[in-house]
Amino acid sequence: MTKTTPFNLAVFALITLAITALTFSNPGTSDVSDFLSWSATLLQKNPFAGYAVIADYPPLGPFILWAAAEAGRLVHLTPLENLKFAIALFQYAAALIAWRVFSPGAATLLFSLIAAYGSLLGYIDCFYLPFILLGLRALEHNRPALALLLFTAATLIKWQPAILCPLIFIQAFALAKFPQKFLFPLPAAAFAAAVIAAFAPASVWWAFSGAAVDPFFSGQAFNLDWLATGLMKLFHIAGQHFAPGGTITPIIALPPPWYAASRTLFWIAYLANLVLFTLRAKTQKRLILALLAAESIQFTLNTGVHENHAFLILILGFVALFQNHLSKIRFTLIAVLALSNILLFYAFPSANLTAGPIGAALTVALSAAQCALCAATIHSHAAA
Amino acid sequence: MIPLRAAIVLLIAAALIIAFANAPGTFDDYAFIAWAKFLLRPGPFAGYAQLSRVTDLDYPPIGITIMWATIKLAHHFSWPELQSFKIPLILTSLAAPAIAYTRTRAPEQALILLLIITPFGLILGYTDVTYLPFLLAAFYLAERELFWAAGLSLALCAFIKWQPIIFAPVFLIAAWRQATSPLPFAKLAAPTTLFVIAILLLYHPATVIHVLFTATSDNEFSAQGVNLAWLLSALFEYLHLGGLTFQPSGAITLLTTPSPAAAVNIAMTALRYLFYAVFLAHLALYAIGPKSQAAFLISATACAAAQFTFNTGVHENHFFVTLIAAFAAWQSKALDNFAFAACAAIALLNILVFYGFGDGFNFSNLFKIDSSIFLALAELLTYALILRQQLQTCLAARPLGRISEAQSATSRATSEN
Repeated sequence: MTKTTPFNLAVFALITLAITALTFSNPGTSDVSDFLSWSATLLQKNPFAGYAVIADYPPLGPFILWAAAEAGRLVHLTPLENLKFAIALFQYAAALIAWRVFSPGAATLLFSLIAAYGSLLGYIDCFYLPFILLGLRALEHNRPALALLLFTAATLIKWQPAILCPLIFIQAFALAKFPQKFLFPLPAAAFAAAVIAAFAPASVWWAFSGAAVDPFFSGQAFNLDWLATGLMKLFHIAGQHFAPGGTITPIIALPPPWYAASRTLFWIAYLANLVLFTLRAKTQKRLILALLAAESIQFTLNTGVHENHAFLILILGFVALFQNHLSKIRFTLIAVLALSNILLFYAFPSANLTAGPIGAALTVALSAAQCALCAATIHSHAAA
Repeated sequence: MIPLRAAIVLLIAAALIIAFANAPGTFDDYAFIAWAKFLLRPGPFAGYAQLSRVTDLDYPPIGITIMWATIKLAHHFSWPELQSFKIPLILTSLAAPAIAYTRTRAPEQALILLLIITPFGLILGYTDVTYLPFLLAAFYLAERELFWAAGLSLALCAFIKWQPIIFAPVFLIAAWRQATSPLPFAKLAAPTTLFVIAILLLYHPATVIHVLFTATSDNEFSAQGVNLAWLLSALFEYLHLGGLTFQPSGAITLLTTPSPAAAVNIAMTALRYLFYAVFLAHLALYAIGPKSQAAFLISATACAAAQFTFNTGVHENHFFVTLIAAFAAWQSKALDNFAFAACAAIALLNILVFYGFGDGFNFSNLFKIDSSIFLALAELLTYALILRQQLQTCLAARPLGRISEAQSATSRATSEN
């Protein structure tokens, strides 16, 4: 492991500053304009009343956007600069945790990977990242109440970590000693109740239920549904056709049986993974691999999945790599597939890499690779 | 049979090739294609001399011949020129990870190399990738002390692009340390010498030397290489020396000599001498250090890093040679993970800061501070990291060496008594 020295710290600081500066003015994806308009709404009203208007994300995500916009107003930053500045702060927080827990090399790697999501394209997944990393650390140190609290906070920022919460709860329950066994969820429950009460339960419910019934059959995520989308367009199933030039485009609405088939497959695999984890002795290795499998199952098999949702797979793969639970080649493949999702659609606008029959073949091949990788991840968990 | 993991690397390589075969690259690519088309009529040997007379040609002969061959093929089969230009880049981008894989059988290392070189070769069309398999082969052959073959491979690299010539002194010292006297050394050097003479004769010695002279007498003080000269450029423009100033966007301008600012002209000379001094110091460190693979690879990395950091006329893709030496050193654990990650980040960010992924980034800054300044500072510190590792590798063994000598002398004395 590389030692921490002032030299390493300075190199890390300058490389990450260069990445931040390089991407600071990049306008990002269309999500960014949503975030900016939310920030404006929240500034106009207040974070609590304003949230009722938005109610698309869980409440703490927009709350962070509001805090960033409020702070930025004091120092006269533009709205985009506010957003990028907040993203950079959370990226640094996550990288410094990785530095403390793993190594300087790990911190540099983590910052470089997540900067493609945050600094470059403006996704706010990094807002919950420090909580996930600290939550996993808390579980390692036998602090189940703190771990559950941190994961609850992460879920109240964006809904994706909710997929992990049942596994975290089971592990925390197994770790807790007798009197604590029934008390450890209390801080997390109290925190969640306070946040939901502050932001109006109906709005929070609306945000979570909206995420659960996302109308996209296939978003821009290379997964099983994208593979199915390619086949449906090729064979003109359910009235689907390629876009002009032979490009595969996402499917937003299909007859309900298609969603039911996809969701059933997801739930079977997800529950099987959960049961497998529950029935066996709990170890840190099994937990990390079960979390990775759960997130891979969600990304690969569920509907309503978008290009940035592989973020958590990347993070869990990173943790598994540096805890020596995952091989380097497996992590590299996870990183390649996760990043290809966002970079192919957004990093090379003039090259238009997903267009035409070649682009279609490329995206289908990547989707098949993601399915294979998901199967390998499930197998790793089962074999652990 | 190909192992499953190697097959996965191959599949990813195929996906990258499909994705980026049409990437537009930098404007250099179109200059190369124009040169290659110029050679179609006279042929590569006579044409090389003619081309050097009508242009500021600063590329070595084999590199130009490879370009000629690809454009010739393109015209013969009516293939698009840009895609054909990428054929050697694709082939060498596949060969290099394969060679890296044969050394350690670690597919993740091959995959990391493939991913790192993709922005250089497939996406932006830099021809540095063309010599990469031969450069890796040169390092691996030298590690096995097959210096006659390593020298040949390195000479081939240098005739494809000049940059790998920076490693020649390190290879010479390593070969001399193996040979220890003139005759065995001459035997080791003979194949390379004959090869160099053959190439000179084939392409006309005066022309090759003239082109090499053009390449080494670049009048750019700061090109797009984020190094010490780049930082000095920013400083001169900040101070408005000789009327120098930032571009209207706030971006740093590329400075050339002779400059209206005397400081630039003085700094150009000073930096050149500083580079020579530092480079010689790295060679001296290697020469006095232990005869080991680690010392050889870290010294090669340090020499290349010194060239990028202190020399003038350095461009954005010139960190590539340092990156490759660093990769070989990292493979053999002569360089730690963090230093290699820093080298990879510097190499990739240096091209991204100017070109993006072929679409170009607009001038990027953080609160009006040009992002390339952070990068240039990071590059200087990365050089310092490499220097520190060379010092540790080459000097740390010396006191131990003395102690072990003293111990063996004591034990000899004891046994004699």
